[in-house]
Amino acid sequence: MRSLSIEIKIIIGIVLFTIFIVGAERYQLSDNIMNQFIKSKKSKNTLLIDTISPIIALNISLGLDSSNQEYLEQVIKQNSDIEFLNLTDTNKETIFTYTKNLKQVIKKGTKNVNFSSKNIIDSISGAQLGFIYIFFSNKEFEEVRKKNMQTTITISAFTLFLLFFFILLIKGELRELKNLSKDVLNYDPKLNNLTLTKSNRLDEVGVIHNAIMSMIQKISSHAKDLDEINLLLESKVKIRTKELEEANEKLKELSITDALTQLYNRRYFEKHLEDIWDIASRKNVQISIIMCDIDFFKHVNDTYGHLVGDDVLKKVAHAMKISLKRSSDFIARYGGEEFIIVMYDTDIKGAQELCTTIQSNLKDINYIDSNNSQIKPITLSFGISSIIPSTDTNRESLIKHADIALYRAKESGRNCIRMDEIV
Amino acid sequence: MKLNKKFISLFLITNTIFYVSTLDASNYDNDVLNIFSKILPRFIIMSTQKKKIKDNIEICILNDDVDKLTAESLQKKIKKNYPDGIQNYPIHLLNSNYKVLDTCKNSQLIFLFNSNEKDINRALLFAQENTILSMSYDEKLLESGVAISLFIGRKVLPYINMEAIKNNKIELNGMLLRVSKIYYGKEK
Repeated sequence: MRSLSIEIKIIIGIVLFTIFIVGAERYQLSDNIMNQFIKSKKSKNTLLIDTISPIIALNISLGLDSSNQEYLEQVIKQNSDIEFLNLTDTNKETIFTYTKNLKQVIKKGTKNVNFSSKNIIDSISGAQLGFIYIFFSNKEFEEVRKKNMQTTITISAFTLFLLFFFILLIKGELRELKNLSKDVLNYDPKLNNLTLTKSNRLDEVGVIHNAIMSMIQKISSHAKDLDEINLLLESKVKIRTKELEEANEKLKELSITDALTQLYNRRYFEKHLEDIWDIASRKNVQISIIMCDIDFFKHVNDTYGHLVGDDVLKKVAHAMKISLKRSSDFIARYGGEEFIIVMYDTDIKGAQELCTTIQSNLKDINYIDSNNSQIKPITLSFGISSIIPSTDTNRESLIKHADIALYRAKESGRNCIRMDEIV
Repeated sequence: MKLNKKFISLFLITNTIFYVSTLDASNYDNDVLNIFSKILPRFIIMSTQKKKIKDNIEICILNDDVDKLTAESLQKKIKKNYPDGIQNYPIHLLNSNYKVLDTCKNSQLIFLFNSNEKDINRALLFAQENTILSMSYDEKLLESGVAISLFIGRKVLPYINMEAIKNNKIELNGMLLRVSKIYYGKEK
């Protein structure tokens, strides 16, 4: 059965259904024909009684009683469907009677029997001579009808049984397709969780099953390839991202760092001051700022050259940087030989201490020229300014006051610390 | 004595023959006559003879003198069966001798009791000439040309000589033919 295609099975189903319908129609048709037969038989019976009654009447009127008997016997012989016949005279006394089956009591309304009756009238005088009634059997028609019904029921039952069987068969196959679709829907290429095996069926279900299986194998293979490609791409992206992040970091560093001294540049200082100003303003914390300048740096440049000047700048920057003790302390190159330090939550005294530390660290540095000859020690002038930020003050003012203090330190002979506290 | 015995025997035989032959006329079956009494008017009504009826149905019963009583008996039976006539026609019955056939001229039917061949033939010729339906008690007369008689066998049936009917230019109702036996002639 499984080698038959669904198309053929459906055709068989349709044929069976058609047989069922045709069978029912056949029964209806034959039943109608039977009814027509019975109807025509009734007409024939009426015709028969209409035909024989004048002859009977004539025989009676002519006094030929024996003729009537023989005539009626002949009529009965020629009409085997007559079950019962009775001829009576006007006094209801029987002249002739016939019963086919003596055991069967026939009366009006008996099953499979038609009743016809007629008065025997003398055609000459119009007088009633008697009465005849005949029961005709419909047995043969009823038997045909019964047989027909039995045949129809047998065919219908058999057809219905086959139809039901085919419906179950088709339903079973559709269920198999449904299960297949369920498996396909649950299939995850990453898990490769399809447990289909090759179908041996030759019908459409088998073809679809194997086609889906082949497709899933291809999908599985492609998914594996894709996974490998993805992994490769992911690692490449990671490397690229890392490189990019490093480049960005470097770029950022470059953008905020002075290339020579490796200290933050002035632009970053301004941003940092802006940030720290806001925080200090909110927390009502004091900020101190130290502005310092290398003493006689132009002389170093002019005397020893720019390379030595640069080296001095580097060494001074380093000395300043290592002097910072807190992570919150910030140092930047402000100008050519100018540096600036921002100290959060620090008063002037604290700033002054840092300046002293820087001066001390500067003493430990050896400055050599291009001929490796020691040059004069380098000193710095410091200008300190301090403020608790508020709505009445601003950053520019703080820087300006530090600059003023630095100017005073330069005026005072350099290598000294001056403060300009903002009131 | 022997001669006397022979004479007496001859006398008895002669007498027996005489009585048998004379009693033959009155030896008609009453039941058969009864059937004829019913049939006679109906054959007129159920044939073209009906057209010949003027006021009465006229039936002429031909007989020899010897059958006169039987003829009268038949008359009585007819009157008994049809006291008011048939189909509103009164029935007029004539009892006539074979010698005076003319009295039957206006009759629609003549009934023939047995007679000699000559009278029978004369009567039949008369019936043919005057388009009168002939009916006889004796079926043997069908051979002579009588139109209707009775067949008496296992059952009793009207016996119709179609040839005679045709010769007399009379037509019978089909229904009568259905209840009758057809006479095809002696040779058939």
